[in-house]
Amino acid sequence: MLWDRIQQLSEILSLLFCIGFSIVSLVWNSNLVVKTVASSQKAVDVITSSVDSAGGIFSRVYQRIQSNDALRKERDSYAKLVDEYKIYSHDNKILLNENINLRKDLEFQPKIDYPTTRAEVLSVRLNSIYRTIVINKGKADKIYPFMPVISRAVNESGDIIPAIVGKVIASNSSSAVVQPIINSNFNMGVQVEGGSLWAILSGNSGRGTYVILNFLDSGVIINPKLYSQIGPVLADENGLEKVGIAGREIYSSNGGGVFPAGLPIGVIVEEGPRAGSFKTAYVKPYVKFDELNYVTIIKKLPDKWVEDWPEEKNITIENPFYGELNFPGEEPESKQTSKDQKLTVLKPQVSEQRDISKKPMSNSPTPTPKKQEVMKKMPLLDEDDEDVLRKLEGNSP
Amino acid sequence: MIFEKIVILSGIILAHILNGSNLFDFGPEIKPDFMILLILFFSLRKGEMAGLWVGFIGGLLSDAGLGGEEGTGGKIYYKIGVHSLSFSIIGYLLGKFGRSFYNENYISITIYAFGVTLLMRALTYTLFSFFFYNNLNYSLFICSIYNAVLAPLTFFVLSWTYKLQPSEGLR
Repeated sequence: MLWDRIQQLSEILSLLFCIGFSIVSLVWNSNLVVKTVASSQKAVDVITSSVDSAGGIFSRVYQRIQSNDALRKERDSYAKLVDEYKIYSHDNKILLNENINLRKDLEFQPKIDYPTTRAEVLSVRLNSIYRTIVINKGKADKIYPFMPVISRAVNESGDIIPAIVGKVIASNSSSAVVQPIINSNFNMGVQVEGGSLWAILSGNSGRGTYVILNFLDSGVIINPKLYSQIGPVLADENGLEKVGIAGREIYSSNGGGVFPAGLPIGVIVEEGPRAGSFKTAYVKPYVKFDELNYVTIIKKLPDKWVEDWPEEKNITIENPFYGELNFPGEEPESKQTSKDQKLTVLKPQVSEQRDISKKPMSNSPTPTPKKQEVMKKMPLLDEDDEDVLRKLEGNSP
Repeated sequence: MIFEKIVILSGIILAHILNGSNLFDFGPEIKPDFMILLILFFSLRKGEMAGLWVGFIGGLLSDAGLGGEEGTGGKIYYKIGVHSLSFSIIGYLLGKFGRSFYNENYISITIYAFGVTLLMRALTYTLFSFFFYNNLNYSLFICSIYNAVLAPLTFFVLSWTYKLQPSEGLR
């Protein structure tokens, strides 16, 4: 009787189950059932990569046969070149040191120097509502979330460069999920080539595989017409570089602490829709996501965030100067400092705690001759840097 | 009976695998959605219950393919439920009400494939916007057109594989 009743209601019960399960999973999206369902993807991804490999086997064999002869010739010519370059190894060392010194002098960002791991792409889901790339390396290979992912790509000049693919967002023992820069939830700080112009890059461009630069200053000119007519113009004697930023490369700025600075991302192609008082621009990424076979993971964990700055290292400025100027000879109205005038300023660049009000310049004792000598050598120090000066003098308490 | 279900499940997994591969791509933006075509096929040929369950299981697999995202405190957030909800509802409604207007010919299959793909993806987009955020990158029309083009061939292959003729599922 009951079974008959269930049979009669099977349609409505099935419908309620499907809808109920889906809604519960969406609302409570980290329960055990959801985790189990999500982990099934791992097995499917392995099969997907096998299907891809099987499908591409014929074209790959043909390409490899074709490129084999060319590569052999190229190898022989490079072998000769290597022999020639061995002579210049000494010069190389000198040039390398010179380069490091010049970088320091010009305040260039140092070269990226992190360990990397190469991984095979298991699947690229560009057609789904949340674009992801699954790779075959995970926690077993020390791949953790927020590690930058790059790949070899060709820039506008035809050079092979390491370009940003995205970042790792989740990893398990043997695979990891990469969030590509064309994912709608992707954001990072970037810098435009050849100028002090920064912006936020977002994957939610609404235009295929392009990304969008947000928060560009409204005074910036983005000139697609000029770019399409004469190609990417960076600088010439006519000052064309001032006309527009279309055609310029964009790089990671390390503003978010995830990507090392200076990694190329793509090239600005045209102006996007205006967002309030800011401009936007579309960027064509260098990486061709539909042709990705391998990626490189930079084993760099995110930089320490500002939130980690310990509270005891904050600078407390008592009696901040907001009022009228006291001209020479005039006495300040009151030397007493009320508690509500205290101002706390976060300043992560300073490594030592300083209480400015406790050591006013006028009341500081006359520096010792040794201290004066140190201060001459290091003009950025002032008399208040007692701790530093004490250490330099060798009188640390 | 069980063997039939296993074969249907294999078809669902195959559709999911094909969605994750680049075998049928025309560039980075023109990609088909075989899962929707499979749900459409079973809804029209086997009725609302087949449409509902194939939609639900296929949707769950698609949701699993979205992956997790690590949030604060190392907690991983998944997006399970988006596709399963939209696919199962449309699969059910299509099997319930869509079959009366359906005639088995190339034009009909093409029109249905276009309309259903558009509807399913629009519903998925709406659900994603409601539960997560507004995603501007989700392709609605291009995928629908490509699915419409591929639908007659897919229906032919599926009809041969599952031995389901147009009249079989009709009441």
